Amino acid sequence: MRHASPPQELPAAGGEIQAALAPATASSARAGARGGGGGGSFTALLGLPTSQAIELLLPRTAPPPALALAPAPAPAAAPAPAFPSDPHLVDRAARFSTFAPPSPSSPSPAPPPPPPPAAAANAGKRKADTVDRASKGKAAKKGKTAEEKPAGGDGDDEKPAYVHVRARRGQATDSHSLAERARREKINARMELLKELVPGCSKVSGTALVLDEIINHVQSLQRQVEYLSMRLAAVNPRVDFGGLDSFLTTECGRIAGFNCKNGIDLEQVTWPEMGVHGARQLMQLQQQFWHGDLAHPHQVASQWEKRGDGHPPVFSNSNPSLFGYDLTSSGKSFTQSYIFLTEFSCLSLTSHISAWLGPRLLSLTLSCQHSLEKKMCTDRRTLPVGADGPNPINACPEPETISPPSFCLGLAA
Amino acid sequence: MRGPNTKAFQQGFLKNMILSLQACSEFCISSSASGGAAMMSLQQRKYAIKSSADIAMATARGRGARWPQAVLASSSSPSRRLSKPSSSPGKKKNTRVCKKIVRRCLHTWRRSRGGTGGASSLARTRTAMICSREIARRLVRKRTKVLRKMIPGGELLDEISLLHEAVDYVAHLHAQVDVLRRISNAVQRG
Repeated sequence: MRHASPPQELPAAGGEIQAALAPATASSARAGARGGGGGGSFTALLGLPTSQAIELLLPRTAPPPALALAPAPAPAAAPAPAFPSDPHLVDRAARFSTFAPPSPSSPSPAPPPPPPPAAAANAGKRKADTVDRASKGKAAKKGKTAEEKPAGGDGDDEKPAYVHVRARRGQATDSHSLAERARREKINARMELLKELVPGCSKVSGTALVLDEIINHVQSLQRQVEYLSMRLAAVNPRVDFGGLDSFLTTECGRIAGFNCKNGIDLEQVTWPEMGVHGARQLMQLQQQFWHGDLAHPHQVASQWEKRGDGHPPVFSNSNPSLFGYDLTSSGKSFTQSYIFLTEFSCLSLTSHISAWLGPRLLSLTLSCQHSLEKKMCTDRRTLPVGADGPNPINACPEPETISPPSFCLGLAA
Repeated sequence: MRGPNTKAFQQGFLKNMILSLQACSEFCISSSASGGAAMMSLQQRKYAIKSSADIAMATARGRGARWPQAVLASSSSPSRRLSKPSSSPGKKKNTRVCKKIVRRCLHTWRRSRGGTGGASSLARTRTAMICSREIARRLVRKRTKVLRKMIPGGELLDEISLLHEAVDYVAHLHAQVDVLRRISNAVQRG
């Protein structure tokens, strides 16, 4: 920003600058006539394509055509190289261009038609105004076109809004209505999504009826869940589904990699059940967990072969990934649910089964909980915030650790 | 693991559900270890299955939505029946408010009809239109309130996020129903 030379030379350079402006607009007008002036009558008035008009109007970029042409018509003028890059200078130049007599016979390579100099004058004035107003900090959302009043905007407000949101022809341009329109568009977009999701909604029009359908659908889904759980409860005299493990292995299928990791996780996590077989096997599992010691893979493998899975060969592969939290392969949400569930099972052990398994188990669960929390914290730090919006679930570890015992207690209530 | 219709999500959901059911059963066993074989009633079992399914779905969802947190919070707090007694006076209030609204609309409409008397049908239709717009707005607001109650965690959300959560929740409910149906079929078969 060079302020030294411009102030003195501006009165003299006003004519040169207008000359610089005029050929710029003229040349771009020639280009713009080919390029199609879509995007509002203002830009059509200006004779420029929308992009160039935006460049002219927004303060941050100096008009490149002026940049290109400025050295040529005014080689002797000292501020000429400085002129294009200084928005303030452009402002003053614009203002001076309005004061200078708008002579169509200004020295320019091509005879500019009468509207462009007047348009340039208007553009200059408007440019100055928009620069002044825009610099006040209104967020530039989209294009401009808040000033299409003189171009024949019918139904526009009389006061230009300078808010830089695209206002269509024939619509109000004050900030309230624009914000309302943005909000309405968001709501309509979400309603479209819901309409796609809920069957039978596509032919219904109107927000109230669509909402009605959505409510009915959600109610029916919840009722279906209740009915299915009632059916499941009626089939089994007991709540635990032992046969579901085999169901799980058949259902999981043979998805390579992911399946193995999941299978391992499940097996390692269901050590509450394995604990029924004896504390000794639990100690082995403890070793595997916390020391990464694969000294006894065979005993563990034998346990797994009981279930008929082909997991032992892949145990060594997945163990480092398990503790290194290889997130990219399996997805973040699953490892987090895994974390939650291990804590869940840990705490259920702590509160209910530790009595008959002994103090060793208690320390095991506590250490399990601590290291898992630590890992979760580091996990969350390394995780990029992939969730959309705020992350209230960041606070989840604490409620999650507190909730399972009360969940178990709540069941008895 | 994007989207509730992927197989990965369903697998995760299955595993979570199995784990939570096992925890439930062990809790039952341990709590009734001294008192002999106290089997849970059908209602209790159904509730256990349903809540474990909800929790499984919520944990399998992971980050990215607010309703899992609400589901987990509601399942952990033992106060579940507190909302029931408050609903009946609320309903009466709602019907009273509805009646008032309808009466007001009718009054304005009758007044406008009597006042203009046929001189300006335009004014009449305009007031009728305004009435209908008001009614539509009130209907939408009522339905939004109902939707808020149904979606977990929806009480605190504004309209836009409420609709977003509704989309998410409906998709996951579909998946949950699917998985539960498959489980019940499999259990029945073998």
